[in-house]
Order: sequence, then C-alpha cells, then structure tokens
Amino acid sequence: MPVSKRAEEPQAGSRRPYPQCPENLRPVAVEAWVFRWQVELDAEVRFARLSQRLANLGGPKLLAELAQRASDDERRHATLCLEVAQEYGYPGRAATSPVTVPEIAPRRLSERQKVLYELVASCCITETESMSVLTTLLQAAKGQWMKSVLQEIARDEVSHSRLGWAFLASEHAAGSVKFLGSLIPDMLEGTVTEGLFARVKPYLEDPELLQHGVLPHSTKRSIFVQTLRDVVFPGLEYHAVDTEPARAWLSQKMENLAQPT
Amino acid sequence: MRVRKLFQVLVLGGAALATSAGTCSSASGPPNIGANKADGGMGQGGHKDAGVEKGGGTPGW
Repeated sequence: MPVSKRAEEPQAGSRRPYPQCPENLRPVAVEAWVFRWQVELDAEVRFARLSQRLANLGGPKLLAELAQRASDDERRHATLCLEVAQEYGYPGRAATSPVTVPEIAPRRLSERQKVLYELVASCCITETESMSVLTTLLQAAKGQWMKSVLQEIARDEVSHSRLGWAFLASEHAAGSVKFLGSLIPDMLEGTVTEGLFARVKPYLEDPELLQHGVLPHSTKRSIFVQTLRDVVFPGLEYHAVDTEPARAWLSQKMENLAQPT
Repeated sequence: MRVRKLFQVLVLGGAALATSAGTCSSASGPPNIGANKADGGMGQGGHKDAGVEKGGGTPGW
C-alpha cells in the first residue's frame, strides 16, 4: 500500500529537504534512512535465499512462502527508506548493482542448523528489535507522513519476526535447538553496531530526532537491552534455548558502559 | 504496543504460526520456560570457524 502524504508534507520527487528538520539533525536523519535503505536491500536478498533454503530442506511450505513474502516486503521497504532519505536531502539514487549478503552461520553446522541460525539471528533477534524500535518511534511521531511510513514498515516486520519464532518452534518440536545457546552471543555481537554501548555527542541524544524516525542514542540502547530482556531472551527460553551465555554477554556490555571514560 | 506485549505478538504468534503450519502440535509445543537452564551450553565456542564478518543480522532500526 503506498504511503500517502498530507498537504503540509514534502511532495514525492520534489527533492526538497524536509522543511521542519533542524539543520544539525538533517545529516543524522539522512544517514539513518540511507543505512536502512541498504539494510532492507540486504534483507530482500537474505529472505529470498532463506525461502529457497527452507524449501530445499523440505521445511514447512508456509514458512518458505512467508520468507519469500518477506523478501518482497523488504524490497518495498528499501524503496520507502530511500524516498525518505531523499526527502531529507540525500542526493543519491537507487543502485543497480546486485546485492550480495554473506553467510552468517558457522561453517561447521549442518545446513538445517545454518538455516535455523540465520532465522534466529535475522528474525528472532534483529526483526524483533526492529519491531520494538518501530513501536517506540510510532508512539513518538507526530507528523502524519512519518507515522504512515513507520506503520507500513511495522505492519510487515511483525510477520518477519514471527517467521523466525515459528521456525524455532518447529525445530524445537523436532528437538534440535540446544546447539544455539552458546552461539547467541555471536549473533548479538554481529547485530549491535560498534557504538551502541558507547557514549555519543549530545546532538545524537536530541529527542527531536524521534520526529524524523531516529531514536536518540541512549534510547536506542535502552530499547535494545529491554527487548532482549523482555522478549528475545524469554522467547529463546520458551523454546529451550539456553540464554545464560547471552545474558552474560549483555552483562559484560553493560559493565563496560558503566566504566568511567 | 509496549515492549512486553511483543512477546505475545511475536514469540507466541510465531509458535501459533508453527502450529498452523503443521510443524508442531500445540501439545508438543514449547511451554517449558526455563527448562533449558540446566542444559548448559554446548561449549562450541561460537562461530570462529565461520570465516564470516558478522554472526548476526544487521538491524536497520
């Protein structure tokens, strides 16, 4: 469904910078939406590949179909994120070169375990965290245009996250998920950006960022942590995945943050 | 939607999806919260053998 814009909002294709964004925050908004554009393009490829791998494994047909649908969703999201970045003044255009995404699972795992690893990392962790961020942004956003963008993306991210939790449930029923416990910290390490547990310059903490679809840095970190503690870790435990290594990883990160600089 | 409600929507929603996909029955399903605590880790030492840049998904949000 296309996202409509109100009269007071920037017009599609106008390339006019979003009028109500403070100049010092505009580059932050551009960087965030350009990054999302790239991530969504990667996700499009990753989900298409997962769909094929699920089908090859003889996995649930419904889940393979959902993965393919997720790939289609991500393509739309990528376009949307690029459009938002352009409204904020990003001069770039859609790239035409093909996107390649790396294998993220350990080589020593079986194909079935690799697919589970990738779905847990991409869906149970990353997409669940994304839903938490989108929910927070939606509650804070005042502009109708931004709300519409966030709503369209959030609606799809629910099913992307569920895809991972569904496959984990399926594999748990088959009794083969215990190997994941010690691997969750690696997934988390690959998920967090380098600076998430570091302090940042004050303008990156500006609450005004929320109106442009960007979380202030410390809010982003606290949501990441809360979502791990309240959703991801209990979800993994629900499926008998040991979360002690992951909880230790998080404790270490939080201890490092508490150290005086 | 509050963060805690996400557990219901995503985790339980996913479990229900697995059931409807016919991959696990509601009876054989997951409800053994905390059962893993005693299992311990597998001592596999992460994905250092993977030769990959990252072991996780990249969050755009």
